[in-house]
Amino acid sequence: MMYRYIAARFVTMIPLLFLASVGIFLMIHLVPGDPVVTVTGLDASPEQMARVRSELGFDEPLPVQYIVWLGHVLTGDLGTSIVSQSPTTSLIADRMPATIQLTLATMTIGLFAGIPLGLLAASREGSWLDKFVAGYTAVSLAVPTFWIGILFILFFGITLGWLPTASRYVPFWEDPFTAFQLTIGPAFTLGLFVSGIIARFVRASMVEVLGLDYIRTARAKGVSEWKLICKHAFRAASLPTLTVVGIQFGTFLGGALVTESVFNYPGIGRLILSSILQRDFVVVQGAVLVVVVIFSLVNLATDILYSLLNPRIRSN
Amino acid sequence: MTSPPHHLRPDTILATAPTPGFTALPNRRQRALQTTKALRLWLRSERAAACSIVYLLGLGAVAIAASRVAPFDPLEQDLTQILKGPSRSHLFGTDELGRDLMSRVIHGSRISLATAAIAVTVAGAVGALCGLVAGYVEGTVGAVIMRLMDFLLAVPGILLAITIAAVLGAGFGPATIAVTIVSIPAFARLARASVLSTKEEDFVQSTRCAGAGHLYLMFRTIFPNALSPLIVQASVAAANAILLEAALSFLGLGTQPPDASWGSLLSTGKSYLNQSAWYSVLPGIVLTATVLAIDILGRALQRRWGAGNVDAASGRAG
Repeated sequence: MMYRYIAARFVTMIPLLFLASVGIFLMIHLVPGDPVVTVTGLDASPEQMARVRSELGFDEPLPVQYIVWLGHVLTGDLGTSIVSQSPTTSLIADRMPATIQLTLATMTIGLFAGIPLGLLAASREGSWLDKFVAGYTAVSLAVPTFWIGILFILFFGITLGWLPTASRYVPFWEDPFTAFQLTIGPAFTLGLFVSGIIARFVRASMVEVLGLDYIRTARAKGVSEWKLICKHAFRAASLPTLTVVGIQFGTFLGGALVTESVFNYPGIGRLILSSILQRDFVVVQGAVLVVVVIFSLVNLATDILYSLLNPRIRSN
Repeated sequence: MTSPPHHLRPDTILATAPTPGFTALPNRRQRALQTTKALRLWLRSERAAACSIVYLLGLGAVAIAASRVAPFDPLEQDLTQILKGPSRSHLFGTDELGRDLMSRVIHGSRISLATAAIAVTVAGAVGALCGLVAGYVEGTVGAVIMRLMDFLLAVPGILLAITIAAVLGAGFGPATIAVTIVSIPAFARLARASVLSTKEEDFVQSTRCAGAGHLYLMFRTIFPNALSPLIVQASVAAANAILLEAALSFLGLGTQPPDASWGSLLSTGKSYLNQSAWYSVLPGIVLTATVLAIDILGRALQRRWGAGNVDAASGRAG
């Protein structure tokens, strides 16, 4: 039963990814302006431009170009960067570890701050604590990430001088202290936002669950308030939160374009952004496709996990 | 579409059937009075929302009258007053060319509010129409529309907006188009969901039996019931649009110099963090306050109407 559900979900993903590949391809290729000029420069001779055009396969009709591209993609070849001449797959593979590290750090901060805040607010519904958490979530969701990033740099980087100004990726297991210094800025910036979303969702579903009959029964049987909230209620209330966590996780794994650029963090987001700005459409096309695949896979994994934990979904 | 005279409209026929204890319907003036009274009571219980409305109205007025309200010309340079902090003559301080920052923030509010207004109006209309049709017709047409929306949702919002804006060539126009396209699918999904849930209701069926056509059913019978979640979504979309425009301008893909938008001010301010901290702090406060005000208003509307399924802010950070 479960396997069939997973298989069915995988099958529905295929047309969506196909559609996404068409969409990304068209978005890049229907651009006004000639990408060949980006490669050759404005003062190239017509022969030179024709040569580059056929090298890039641009002299073929669009459907043919698409099929050729898709064929390469399916065999794991995302093309060669126009700017750096290195394969797109290796560019992405170089940046991926940094983005994964940032995403894990972000989600850790978000979960460790968001869940307790949500639980506290729900357990004291209507109190000043609840109002404080409501204010915290409202502000954390309204603040633009790039501004929080700037404030973070201003305070910890310039005023206190605690953060290194250089930008590079250091794996956490090799040098935890430097890795922490380099990752904490963007991770805090994004984590603040995630904690706000999580706190809001945890509070909402906890308030709902705490009003249910089985909680009243448990309370009447003398279960301590602490155990009631953490064990009885939170287990049921964590399900809707899972979806939100999954969406955020998938989004950040695809690279946090703005935050990474504020902190000069060498992740996949900055790769995409710099490729877009340099009009390196081969890399943009490949990297965006990879991001979409990751995003869809994480969403799928979330759905499957959700149905594993909540058998009611599976049956219908 | 020309509608039949009021007394012949299907829902009028149904609504005017005499009921026990029937009292005369209030006339227009009484209805207006009732509405104002309800609004006043609501705002009294939602203090934060009332403050937000005042702030947003003020901001809107400032944006409209920007050239009159701004103390200086936003492009006027004064190279003797570079990167100064707030003072009596320059309340927000000055930028790297000695231009008055407050005037630049005031003129920047036009860009943020215009983007939000255009994005919400166009995306709301297009999205609601797509959702309405997709929900009402289902079948192939509905499937095609929703697959298109699925594609737009399959790419993270910020990435999609950046790609579109870059492809169209940076500037106010491209940024606004990008923000608008990104805002469409949320409206479409919401409209479709509320159509699907009301379509089989008795009042729709009976209006159909009374002889209403498809267009009448779609726009006059079903659509009004989908309206309140869409209005809440409009507030979410407006806040998202302002944030997205600011992000695009921050990355250099939105409003181009010498004009300033809140995002581009923050971006230049970041280069001068060592010399003038105020430069990047003050525009950020205005930007955050605006988004916060719209969010608070939206949440208050959501509480009022119980529109629960509106996607809050999950796509904002990136």
